[in-house]
Amino acid sequence: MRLDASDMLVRVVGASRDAIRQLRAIAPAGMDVVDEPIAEPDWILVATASQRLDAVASSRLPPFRVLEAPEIAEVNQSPSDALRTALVRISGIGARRLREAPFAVRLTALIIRRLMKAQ
Amino acid sequence: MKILIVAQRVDFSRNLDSVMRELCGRGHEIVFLHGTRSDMWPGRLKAAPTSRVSEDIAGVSSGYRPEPDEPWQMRLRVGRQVINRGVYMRRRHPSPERVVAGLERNLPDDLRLKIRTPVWRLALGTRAALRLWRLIEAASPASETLLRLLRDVDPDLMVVSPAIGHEDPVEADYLHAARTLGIPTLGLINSWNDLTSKGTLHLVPDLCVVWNEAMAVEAVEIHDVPADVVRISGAPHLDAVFSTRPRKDRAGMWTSMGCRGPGHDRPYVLFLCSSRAVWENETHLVTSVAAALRREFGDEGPALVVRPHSSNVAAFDDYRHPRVVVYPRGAEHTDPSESWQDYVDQLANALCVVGLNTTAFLDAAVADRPCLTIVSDVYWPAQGRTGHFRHLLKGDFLTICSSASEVAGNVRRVLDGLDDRSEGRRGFARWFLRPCGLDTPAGHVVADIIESAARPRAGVTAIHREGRPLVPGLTLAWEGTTGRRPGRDGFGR
Repeated sequence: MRLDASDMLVRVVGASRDAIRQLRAIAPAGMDVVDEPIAEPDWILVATASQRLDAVASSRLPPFRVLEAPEIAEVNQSPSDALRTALVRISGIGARRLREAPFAVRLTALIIRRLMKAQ
Repeated sequence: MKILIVAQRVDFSRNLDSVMRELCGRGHEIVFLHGTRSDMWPGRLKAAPTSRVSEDIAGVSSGYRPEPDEPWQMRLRVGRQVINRGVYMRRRHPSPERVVAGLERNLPDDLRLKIRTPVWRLALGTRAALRLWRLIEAASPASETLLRLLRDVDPDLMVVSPAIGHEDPVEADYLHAARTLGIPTLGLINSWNDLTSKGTLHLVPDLCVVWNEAMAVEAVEIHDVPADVVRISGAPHLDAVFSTRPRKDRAGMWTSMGCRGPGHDRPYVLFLCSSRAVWENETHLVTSVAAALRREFGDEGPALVVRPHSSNVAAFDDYRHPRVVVYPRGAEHTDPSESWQDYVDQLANALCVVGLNTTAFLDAAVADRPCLTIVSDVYWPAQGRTGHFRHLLKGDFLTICSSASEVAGNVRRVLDGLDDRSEGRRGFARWFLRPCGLDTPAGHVVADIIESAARPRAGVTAIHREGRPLVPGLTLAWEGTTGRRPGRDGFGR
């Protein structure tokens, strides 16, 4: 059971440079905060509702893994409690685990199609 | 947003009542589909069905849940029954003998014989079997019938309730169809015995909502649900027990039970019957308890009132005993929502409650009535061999008696004002029924989780808060088999 935050990728959308720097500073060990597009993030942190809409549609992550935190657009001196809370929540729930390996699903689907034809 | 709820039976709308009311109160729309055709519903509960779901709560529409009838889906359904049975073959299953006959009954004869062979037992009892089955489910084509339905409804999230089906399981068909269309899915575990006496999750939904930590561990360890999808909400169907206040005093309750005149304001012990699956007929036990009360108190002692289980009223239809009142009898078991207040009044006015292994113990804990049970060689099969009874034992609020005479002795202690399990009842409510806070209705927590998991739409932002994830470090062994008690906060901390 994986319950720590090791090797977890959090993509941030719509954050200021200062916010990203601060997020990296307060991120728990093992959590990588990135602001460039990556193939398979575990979580996405966005600043606005429309960014969340786009992120859910484009990433195919379950919507609960795309969090809206308006604070990341403008971070002042210190990160807000809400931001810390979001990261704690992210690390508490953990990285996304693929339910079934895509290759195995494709292979099994091939076999199932053959079985269905044979029916 | 629009939420589709797919339920096994129409009466499960009661379990979700507080969830649906909260969601509709927040402005969401609900489509409630269930698997109960009007001709399947028992005559005595004809007042309960479909119409009530939509009439009671503005914003809810309801209807029958179609079942996929494509040949491949029918085959999958047979396979799911085998996998359901396989889960009980695991070495550390807390109730390996439970419901086995029921699960096997639905299998074709040749398959039933096959899975009893050592090789099949060994294979089905492994985690690999469930992993492989989930792969087959994920790789199978989704049901066209359900894809059409989901495209028509176009929900922002689909709730499957309960996520575990053991009779003709079609839950995975719905989950797979929703997944194919990119609709977020949420599996709700309806009751405290679903994870130890029903089937398993043939596909893992995006989120799996359970009542408490103990059930979260069962989901992870028995059903291989990844911990990161488990959320803890409390028990939504007990929100009504928490919020309903008694209206009658004891004399008023006696009148409701059809007893008037001298002597009908005296204390009564409430015998709460168990479901048929636990014990077919409890009339002998009731007679024994009535006799023991008479021996202990003579003619002036507390009366014995029996409340038959709503799914097994027939056992007491013809039961007559001069010192026992049966209420409500079969015909009086009307629509449960209408008699709810009556039930709360009956509980609240009871001196204490007695039973074997029943969900009504949860209600009694909330109503803060002392709870007595009989554990003996005779009844242990219906208790110790069920996974959920150990939750009651761990809750440490039951007074365990070995015989009807000991029950009568403990009734005297209660009558004398000795109630040493009251803290246990409160602890149980905090730990098992409302782990997100005694003042936080579980229905609200589930509504929060639904909002956080739903597909977002333009112009709508609706994340409030989430149910707690599984607390790290808990194991199934710790939960029941080591004999350790929970800590003061109920979580061993």
